[in-house]
Amino acid sequence: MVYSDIAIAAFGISIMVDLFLFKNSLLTRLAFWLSYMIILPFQLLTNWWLTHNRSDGKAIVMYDPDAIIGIRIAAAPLEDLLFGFALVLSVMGMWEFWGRRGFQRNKNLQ
Amino acid sequence: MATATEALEKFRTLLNSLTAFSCMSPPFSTTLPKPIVRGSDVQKFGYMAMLAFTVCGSFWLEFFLKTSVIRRWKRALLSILPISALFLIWDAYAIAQGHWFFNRDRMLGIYGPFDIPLEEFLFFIVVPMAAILTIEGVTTVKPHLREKEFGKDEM
Repeated sequence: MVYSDIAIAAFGISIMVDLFLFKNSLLTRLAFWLSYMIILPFQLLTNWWLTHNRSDGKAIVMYDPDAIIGIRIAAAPLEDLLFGFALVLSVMGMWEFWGRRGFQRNKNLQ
Repeated sequence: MATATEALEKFRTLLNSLTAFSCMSPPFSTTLPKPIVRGSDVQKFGYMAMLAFTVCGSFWLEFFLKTSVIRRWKRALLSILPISALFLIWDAYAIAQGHWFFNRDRMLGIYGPFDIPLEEFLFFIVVPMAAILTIEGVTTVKPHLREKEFGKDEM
């Protein structure tokens, strides 16, 4: 399995878990999509910082050409967007999960 | 004339020695002062700069919007650690397989288990924290978006 395979799997699993395992799916809530719209430009910016070629001809993070599809967005492989989406969705999903269970649900910790 | 030059040289050496242990550059040095930070040292913070940017761009929400995410750090950690563990397994596998690799000149040079750099461990704490802070920031500003939040209870 290369980066593409794992990224697509992580993307798919995170969506399945959100839709079918967690109650009250984040993918059906405007709060999630607004958050993702805020996060996405920052992800593109930080991705670019880490993956664009610098004066020494190297980026901070580099990829085996055989491990990626080869489409790049803001210097980073397309797969990074799937990776980022899966990370953000699953962490927010866990945060909501603990909230629903009543664990530190309220801001005032009562 | 020669004695005047010698005296001037002695005076210069004296003044330079007085500032030798301070941060000042020698006032009468004929050579350029040694830069305090060399280029290669700055380079090492290439990846860390991105993490610092993410922290600066998100943690202010805790204080200015009172999102209380850091205050609820136990809930945050229980949300982040299981997911980060899975992603770090992926990271270890990808590093071992050579799917991605790092420019070691742009890293601090601290490596953990499975050759995962310190920066990657921090990434999987800082970025998830930023994500939680963002959705809590959004629902703090737009409380009506929280209406459905606890709609179906799992308790």
